[in-house]
Amino acid sequence: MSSGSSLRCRKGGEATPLTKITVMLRSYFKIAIRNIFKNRTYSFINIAGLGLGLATGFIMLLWVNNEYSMNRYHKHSDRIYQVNAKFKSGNGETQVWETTPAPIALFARQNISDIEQIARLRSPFGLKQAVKIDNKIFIEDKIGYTENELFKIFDFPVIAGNPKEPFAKGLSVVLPESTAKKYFGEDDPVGKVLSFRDTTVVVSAVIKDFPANSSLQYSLLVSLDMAKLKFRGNGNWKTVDQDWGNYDYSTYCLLKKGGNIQNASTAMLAELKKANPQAAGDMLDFPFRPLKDVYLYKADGTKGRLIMVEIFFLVAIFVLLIASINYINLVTARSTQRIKEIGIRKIIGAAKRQLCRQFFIETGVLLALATVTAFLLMNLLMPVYQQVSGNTTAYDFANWQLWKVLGAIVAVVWLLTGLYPALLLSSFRPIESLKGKIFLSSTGFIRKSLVVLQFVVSITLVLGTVFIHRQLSYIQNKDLNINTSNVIVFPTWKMKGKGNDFKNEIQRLSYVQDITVADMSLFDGANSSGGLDWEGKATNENITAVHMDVDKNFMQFFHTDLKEGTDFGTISSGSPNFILNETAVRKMALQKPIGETIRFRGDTGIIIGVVKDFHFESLKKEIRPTVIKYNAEAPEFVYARVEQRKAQQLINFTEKFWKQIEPALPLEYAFLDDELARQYDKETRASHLFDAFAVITMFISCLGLFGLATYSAERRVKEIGIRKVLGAGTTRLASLLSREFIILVVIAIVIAIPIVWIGMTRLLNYFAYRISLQWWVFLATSVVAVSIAVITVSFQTIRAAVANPVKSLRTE
Amino acid sequence: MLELKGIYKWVNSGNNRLFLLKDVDLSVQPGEFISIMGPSGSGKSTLLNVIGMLDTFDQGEFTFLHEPVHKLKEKQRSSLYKQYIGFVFQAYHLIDELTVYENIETPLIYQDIKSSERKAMVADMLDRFQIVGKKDLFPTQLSGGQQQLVGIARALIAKPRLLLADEPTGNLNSKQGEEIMGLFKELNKEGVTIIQVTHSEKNAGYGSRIINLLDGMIQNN
Ligand SMILES: Nc1ncnc2c1ncn2[C@@H]1O[C@H](COP(=O)(O)OP(=O)(O)OP(=O)(O)O)[C@@H](O)[C@H]1O
Ligand SMILES: [Mg+2]
Repeated sequence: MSSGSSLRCRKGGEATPLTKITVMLRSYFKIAIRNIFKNRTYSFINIAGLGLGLATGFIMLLWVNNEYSMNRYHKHSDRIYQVNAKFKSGNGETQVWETTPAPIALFARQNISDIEQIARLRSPFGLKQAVKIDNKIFIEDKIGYTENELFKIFDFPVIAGNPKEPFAKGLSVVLPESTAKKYFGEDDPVGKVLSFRDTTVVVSAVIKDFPANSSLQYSLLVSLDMAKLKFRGNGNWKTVDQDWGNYDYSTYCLLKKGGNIQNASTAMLAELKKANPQAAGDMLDFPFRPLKDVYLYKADGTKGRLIMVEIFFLVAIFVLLIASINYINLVTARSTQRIKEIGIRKIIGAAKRQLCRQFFIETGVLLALATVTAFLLMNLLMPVYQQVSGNTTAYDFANWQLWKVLGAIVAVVWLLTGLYPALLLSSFRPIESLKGKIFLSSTGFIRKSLVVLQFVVSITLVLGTVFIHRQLSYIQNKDLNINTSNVIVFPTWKMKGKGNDFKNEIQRLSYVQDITVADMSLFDGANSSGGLDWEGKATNENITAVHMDVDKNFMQFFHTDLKEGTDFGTISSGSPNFILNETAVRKMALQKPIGETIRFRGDTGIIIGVVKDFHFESLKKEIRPTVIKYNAEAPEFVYARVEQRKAQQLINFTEKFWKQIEPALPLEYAFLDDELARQYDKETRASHLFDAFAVITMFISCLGLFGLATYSAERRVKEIGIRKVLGAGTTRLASLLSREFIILVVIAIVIAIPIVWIGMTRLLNYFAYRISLQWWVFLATSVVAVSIAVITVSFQTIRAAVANPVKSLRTE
Repeated sequence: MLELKGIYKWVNSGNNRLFLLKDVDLSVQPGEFISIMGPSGSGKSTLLNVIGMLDTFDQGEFTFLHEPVHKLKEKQRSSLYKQYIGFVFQAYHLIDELTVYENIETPLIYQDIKSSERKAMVADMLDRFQIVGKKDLFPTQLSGGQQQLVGIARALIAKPRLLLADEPTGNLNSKQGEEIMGLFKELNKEGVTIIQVTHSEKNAGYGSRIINLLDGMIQNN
């Protein structure tokens, strides 16, 4: 034994703050790790739930962050604006376009002192072009036509070529790095030549690839000179720089420091009125839209993309919340097991603060493991997610911005999960803890509320998804009053005047059952015009109607129903006779439409028939008033109905025909049924994502329920033993144990139903044709949710109920 | 060392006031070894907890090393007992998740003592109680007597001036009990003031003074 004097001499030196903290951390870490291993089920549930929640949260919030930061990285982003155009569009409504006439920029450059730089950018997206380099051909559809000023407004760093003027004199192109690599490999691209159809251009510069958070994404930027060269004139306006009639340029400007938007806009409007007096009456304003809004809002200022971003943000937060709740619930449920430890620690000198720290660190260690799990899951989930969402943003893990987001998420989750348990556990009074006198009745209530909250969220998502699916299947299966099966549509207007030849050739093919012609492609946008006029029209009435110029047999071809009057039958092409759809007749309030005279788009003619409303657009939209005219000249689109198994044969045939006209570009065609399905692509994708969210939240919630059931069964092991000895049956016991959990799920359902009701009613408004919210769907989904909960807790309750009572009682 | 004057502690149940301690006067000098005795439920543990500042009282004055405990804030009180008081329990109350070594070390961690120093102090303690060989075991791997030794080692590690022990031998066989009492005697000789609760006359005999408690009241001195 050591000498007694050592006992009496008071403490030795105190540690420095740093070593003090590391010592404490080390000791807490050790305990945390031991606790994790000692309670494997508990740890597994916690790590799995948190890991899955974090992985989902990471993926979603990184996407949200990318969307929010869109275009904000430019040095001058707060002074960059997109010039829009605001019109009157009849019926007292206004319309805002994101594009302007080309000369506006020229005018501003010379005359508006508030503007420092202004540039035009034309993006005929979807138009495929062949780029030829030596003998290689590349098909590109993301080509922009622009000018040097663009690089003075935006930060698109030039890495080869003249950084001040990336476009050289003459016809030149600027390539992003990856395109340059694709075209020329490791060779220096500057000075190399490539050609479009008949025009040769020189690569004058290479820029860095457009970053993921730029909404401008091009594979090729072509000098505006090319667009000028190709311009064929628009009435009296002979050049692009004079064309005040077409609104086909995006115009971006950099405002001078302290520059006034209103001045600039007013000056632009005045100039337009001078240059194009005809249009001046409808033109209201050139609104300047801040760059940061360009991506997230629509031109008219309503939320566009932002809606999706906000929904995802909310869902991500909910998923993280649900995962955090699991942790909190399991910790408080297990806290009874730790009360003694806490009491002892307090008695041997732990301050509340020190205990708080200990529990925070325990949470942190678990969270760290969950984060590692999340990264593994993320790698697994990422490809699936990208496929489902169609969102291919690649996450650059070398980017510190990304780590900032991930760090923030983990920190918030840490705070969320750590705070309550730390405060709760460190607040126990030592003597009572040791005597086992602490009854965590209040934590029971909180725990139950949190479980209810979890299930409210997950059941809301499940119900929501069920209704979304029903809605999508409803619009996809609704009778369109038009037969689209086995119909292929060919854009014959691209055949350089050979449309009629094509039509005649395929007409002769035995497996082509029928063909027809129209000036529009069904389900791919329809053109409309105002100014429909008829006998008895009120003067202030203005109906905008869709116009279709079609072949004589159009109605027969598509099996539409004639409601009144006659088909085009014997009428000669181009004659001013119209068939209207029911909506048009109703809107025009015609009692006896047949024989009425109408004026539309310069034609005056009579209504010879009324066709039953048929769908030619997405069912998100209401059927619009439509005026159909017989006009077989210059077929812009040819529709062919083909024997199902011979479709490929027809495509092969057309391919050959097409190669003679346009060898460089791929043939374009579409099955009408596919076009129709494509209308709901976005919704279908979103619905798949929500499937995933619903499954994930439900799974995490059930994981938590499972954990709680485990503890409840453990805690009540003695009670179960006694009841069993007294003769209670297994079923009875299992249901006794399950009841407390099932009740929570039922409460959650009761809360979720009105939320879903309100939410879905609003969401469905987005569809013009929609399902009603049937009560039995609520009921069926609820039954499924309860069943899942029952199965989840049964694992534990049944095990507890069948356990040998002698065993459980003996351990006491 | 400490002085209790007219200490009352009660709980209210319905309209009745149930006294746990009634007018307790007690003065303890440094170096004393006091045994508190009395039937079960007489308030021994309650008194010990009050002295150890783990429990509050409702009326009276309590001076500890010239500090008026009844006027101190919770925080000051806890820093006072952290510094000067060590506890030993009948049920040992070791932390199951920690090894013997770590159990003994923990109070030092809470007192922010340097690592090298801690090592030396714990090594001293292990040595003194001859449990060096057990230092990496967990409490459940020890016998009751060994656990109580660890409990005492932990109570003494921070070099308290007052050791409070609530039936420290209650869960031990007589031989183990004697060892512990011998140890207490020795500690007392080294200058540690000891107050123990015990049911055994024999154990009480190790002390310098016996206090008898009945229904929360001190019977004789
Ligand atoms: N918080 C409380 N509320 C009500 N009664 C209490 C409370 N704490 C203690 N008591 C009662 O006070 C009395 C004294 O308890 P105490 O634990 O001090 O007795 P003890 O002398 O240590 O008995 P034992 O020898 O059995 O350990 C007992 O009757 C006990 O039931
Ligand atoms: Mg007692």
